[in-house]
Amino acid sequence: MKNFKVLWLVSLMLVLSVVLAACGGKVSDTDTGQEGEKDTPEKETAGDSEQVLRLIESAEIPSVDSSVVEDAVGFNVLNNVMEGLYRLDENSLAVPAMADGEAEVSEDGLTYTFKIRDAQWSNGTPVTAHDFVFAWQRAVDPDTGSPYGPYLMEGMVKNATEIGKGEAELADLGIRAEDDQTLVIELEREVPYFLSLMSFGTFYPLNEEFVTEQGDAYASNSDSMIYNGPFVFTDWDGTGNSWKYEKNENYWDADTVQLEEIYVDVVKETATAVQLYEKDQIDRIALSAEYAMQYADDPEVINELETAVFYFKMNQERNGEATPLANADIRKAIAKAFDKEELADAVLANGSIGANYLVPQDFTFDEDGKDFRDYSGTFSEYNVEEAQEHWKKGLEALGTDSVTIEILGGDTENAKKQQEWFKSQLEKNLEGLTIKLKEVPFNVRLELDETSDYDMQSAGWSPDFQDPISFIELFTENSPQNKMGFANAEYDQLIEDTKTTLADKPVERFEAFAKAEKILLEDEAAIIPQYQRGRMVLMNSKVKGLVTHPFGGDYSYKWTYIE
Amino acid sequence: MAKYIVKRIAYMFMSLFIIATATFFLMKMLPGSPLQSAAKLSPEQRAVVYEKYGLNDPLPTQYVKYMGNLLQGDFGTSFQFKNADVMTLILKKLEYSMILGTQALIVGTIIGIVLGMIAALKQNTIWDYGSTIIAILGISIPSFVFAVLLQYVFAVNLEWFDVGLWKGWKSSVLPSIALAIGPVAIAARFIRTEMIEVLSSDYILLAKAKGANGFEIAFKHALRNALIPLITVLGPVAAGLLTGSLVVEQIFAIPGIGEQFVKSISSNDFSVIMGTTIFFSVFLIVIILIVDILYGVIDPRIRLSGGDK
Repeated sequence: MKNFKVLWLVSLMLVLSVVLAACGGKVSDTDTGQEGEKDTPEKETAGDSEQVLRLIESAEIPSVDSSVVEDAVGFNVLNNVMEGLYRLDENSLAVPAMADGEAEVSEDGLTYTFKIRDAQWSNGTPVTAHDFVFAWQRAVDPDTGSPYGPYLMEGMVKNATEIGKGEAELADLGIRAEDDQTLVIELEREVPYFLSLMSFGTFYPLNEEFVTEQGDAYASNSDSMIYNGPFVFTDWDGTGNSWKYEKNENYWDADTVQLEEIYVDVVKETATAVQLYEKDQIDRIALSAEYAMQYADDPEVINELETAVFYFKMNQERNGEATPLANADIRKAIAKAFDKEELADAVLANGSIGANYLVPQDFTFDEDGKDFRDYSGTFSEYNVEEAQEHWKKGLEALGTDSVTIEILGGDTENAKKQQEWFKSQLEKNLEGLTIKLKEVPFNVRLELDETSDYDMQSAGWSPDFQDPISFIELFTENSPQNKMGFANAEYDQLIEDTKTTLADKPVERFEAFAKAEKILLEDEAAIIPQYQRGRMVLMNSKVKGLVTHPFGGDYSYKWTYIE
Repeated sequence: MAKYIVKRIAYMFMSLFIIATATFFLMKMLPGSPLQSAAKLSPEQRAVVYEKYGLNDPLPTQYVKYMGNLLQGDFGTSFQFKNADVMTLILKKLEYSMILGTQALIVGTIIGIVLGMIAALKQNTIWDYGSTIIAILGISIPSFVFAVLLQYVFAVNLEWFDVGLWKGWKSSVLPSIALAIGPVAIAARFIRTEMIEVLSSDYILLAKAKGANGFEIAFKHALRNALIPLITVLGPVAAGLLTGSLVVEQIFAIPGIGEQFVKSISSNDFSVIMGTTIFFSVFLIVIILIVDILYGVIDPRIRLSGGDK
């Protein structure tokens, strides 16, 4: 009886607080004005096929200025509201977009001539070759402070490196407009993936007159920009948690675009996103591992394979001293001592797949559409017996029967779960091995990487352009990504060859990459691949034609429609 | 009084100066770079980009420059949000947190006071136990657990409110309640303890003897005296609501300042770290000042000007 009274009292208080809080809310509504009924879509979509898509993002937009953007959200927005010379199509192949037909390439592969399509910016001014010249110069200009401009152009576009050093003028950059419709680009070396790079945000055109007029305010909100892509960008205040896309009527291929509006809200909690999805307030969410298991059999689940690959860096020299990992047998033993399938299926459980390679699958293809993976093999496959053989040899060479190795990794829940798993697998399969785990925030890990202050490190890479070299080149002797005391002259030479003598021989070039990958993973076990990341997504079955891409902007809504 | 306030404001600027200086140097010791793609760049390329943001200068130079700008009211621009003015950014995000925080504080305190009074006046009855239980729950259950519970019951099952996102005042109800649970508990506990003590004091006995009715005694005499310690803790509670609303904001997908503060630290957004720290400090210092002034209003025995000789 007494209990009942208490319960009653508690519920009374709860109800009371709801009522009171509601009153409090009303007051603040008049205080802040307009916010009231915002135009977020709550419209019933049952039955009709209104061409409206409702999405969420996991982070705000840091920038949509194509010269300075450096993150996934920003590149994704740009891919849908802007357009470069080329665009990735439904199959993620680069096809002419602002370019009118395929580019004309000179004999030596160093000069590209593009005709610019008859297209308009969203304010009605025509898109010309000058817009590209201006944008490229702006991106490489040290005063712009762009990270991606120099990163992508130096060593590729003529004089970009010299401009970075202050030895050349912006006007010397290897891009010029012969007339309004003709754009000529000069390269320093042959770049086989150059055309696909033209679909990347950093290379999009910018209208000089408009950008200069806006000055510092350019791209600070959705009104201070003009667009030449399938959609225009609206209702974004520069830092806010919601934005919108509307169909761009001035887009040259507007007939293809079916969606009228796309609403985007930032939702960081997967739990909240799942509830919103269940309430049919959004059409698509990505699931984190704990929900991935719960929804694994849901008919609306889609597995998307990303192009990010994760691996162990095996540091051979720490603080001037050789680590146990300097011994190749020790490295090879570790490489074969953990079950990647189990890692992907039981630990990650988010659509990721175990990787016995560095260059991801479904990422790069030869001219006949053959995946690079078909050129190369699989390496460091799980094999406890071989691992133990290597281990024994390695220990003998080191003259010891026990080794302690530190694994450096992230400090997020998921990262910790993985490190624990690695520890248990490796210690179980390799007798005498003790693993020490060091779990640190991302920035700390980068700093320890910078100074090579680790033994093994869990790291990952996502590519910025569609070519095996974006992965293979990471571990050459002088690469900023190496930092693990690895050097192999043959490997370095192979990569140099792909840029020079093999640049115009696609098949031999891929074969050279395959050879380099074998050296890196099998002969040297310099790094040990773990998995290729996947994404488990819940998507409303009425949404069709939402295209995902392996690099640059992650999605295209150009071909999306609501059934 | 005026002299006292002027003195306090002078102290406030001194505190702010110390806070700003300490934060600046601590922040610069953080590992990492404000550039997301820094790891991809060669050292030369990085140096070129840093040059543009003045990050290549020696620390003391950066400090002097920053403080100079700060004195002119210029908080700089954010690194996370390219070109975004830090003050504008903070104010925009603050709006949501302010609405939630104020509602939570007002509602929480009022309910807490009511609960505390009931408990004190009906000591050792079912009312007392009930309110104590609520207070204990409020202190021991973190606000975000309560937030998830509220979201599940009132948004997912009953559908009275939205699951998340900001769509006007209705969106603020659940998060405000979730945040209010802390103030409810604190206020209820303080008021109960103080009231019981006050109610047993001699002057209450006198009031009763004079024939004052129960209502008058409870509100005019007992509550007023019991409020003093509560006001002392409400200042920090208010500041805590503003800074600590991070998880609740994330659960309801509300773009508040709490989250922004944490994110600015993890992404080395130097100017936003400085901006929010200074802002929170000002907020806390001002609240403490207000609390001190309120003492005098509630209890005339407390003389603010202190040792006036």
